[in-house]
Amino acid sequence: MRDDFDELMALHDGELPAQEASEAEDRLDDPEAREFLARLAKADEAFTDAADELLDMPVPPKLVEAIRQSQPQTAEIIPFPRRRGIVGLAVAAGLAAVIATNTQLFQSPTSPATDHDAASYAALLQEVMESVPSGEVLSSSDGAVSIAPMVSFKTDAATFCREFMSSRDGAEFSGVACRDNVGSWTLQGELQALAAPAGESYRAAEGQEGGGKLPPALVKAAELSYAEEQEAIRSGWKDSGRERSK
Amino acid sequence: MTSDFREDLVSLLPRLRRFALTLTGDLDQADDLVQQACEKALLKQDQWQVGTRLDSWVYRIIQNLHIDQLRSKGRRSEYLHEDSVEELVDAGSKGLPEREIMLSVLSRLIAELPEEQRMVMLLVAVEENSYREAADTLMIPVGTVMSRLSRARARIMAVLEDADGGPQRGKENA
Repeated sequence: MRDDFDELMALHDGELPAQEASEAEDRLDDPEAREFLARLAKADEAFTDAADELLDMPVPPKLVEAIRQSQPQTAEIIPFPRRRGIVGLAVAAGLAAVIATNTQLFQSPTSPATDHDAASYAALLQEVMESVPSGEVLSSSDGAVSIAPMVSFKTDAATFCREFMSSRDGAEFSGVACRDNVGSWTLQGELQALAAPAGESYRAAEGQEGGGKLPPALVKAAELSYAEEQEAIRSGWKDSGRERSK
Repeated sequence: MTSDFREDLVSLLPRLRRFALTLTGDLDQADDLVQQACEKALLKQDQWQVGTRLDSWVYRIIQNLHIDQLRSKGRRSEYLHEDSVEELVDAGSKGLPEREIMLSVLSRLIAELPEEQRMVMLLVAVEENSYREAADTLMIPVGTVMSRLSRARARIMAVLEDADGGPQRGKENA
């Protein structure tokens, strides 16, 4: 009987090939089949009425405006080939991922570098890399700088590294830091600018492969799962495969 | 060209919102999804094949974004359980007027059917997609579309018949 009902449902939905449809229609003399089709139609009608009420909701003008104004940014996405974390986030956030001609965070034209800035940044980076799970954000106490780890991975040489996004004064950067065997996290290569703050413009890089200067070992590194990362943070990034003495 | 595509998206907005809302059960979340999906569609408009259904293509983008978001939040299955439906309905009584109206409708859709059944009902029974089209949009096999539809309809029939056999029939008899 179940199969019969499924066939009737397919008939109702116009999904039966002509021959089968005609055979199924022949069986509609059966009052039970007719009753089933009637109940099916009633169920669809009830659901459709409810769904159509959703269609009548006024679309917020804000949403229409956002779509009319949205600027698709197709040309300047960094081909960050190794990992999905950062580019995914940058695209999701609608950021133009351009390479800054000046990629160092503390050489921003709006705010010259100071040793104090650099030291604060290093301290925040250390804290975030050591203890903040991917996807969460930690900001400096004055709120000027934020760092969010995106993904953690382990190199063949059993070094833990983490990709992160960082923002300062509205500019977004990405970078990679690796942990040495005494527990210090060091930035690998340079920070890459993902978006310029309003009013500043960066020249898109030409012919830059991958945007970053990552050590080749990182390209092959294995990404940690959420559970593995949790465990790594919990254990102080102790390498389960290669015990070290601290 | 771009502006035509953009306007096509704008004219689809009521249906995109309905799709996203049926998926998430939350209006704010639905609007965020729709906005992100439209931005993504604009970005990738050259990947859309002219002559194919734009609505189905954007539905699929919404569906993908939704799955990504659930994954990134690490909460795939607890999503629209009955508790959260009750919370939604409770919240509605304190919310904005639009939200209240929404919830009265939503509660009927959500409370009766789990997400996966709502989605096949929306695509097949309401939007008259073929099983194949619905399967493509939801990225599930055709057989799964059929079994979900069958369960969804059985559930709706049961609810309707309960209602008929309840207070209404009592009234008629009285």
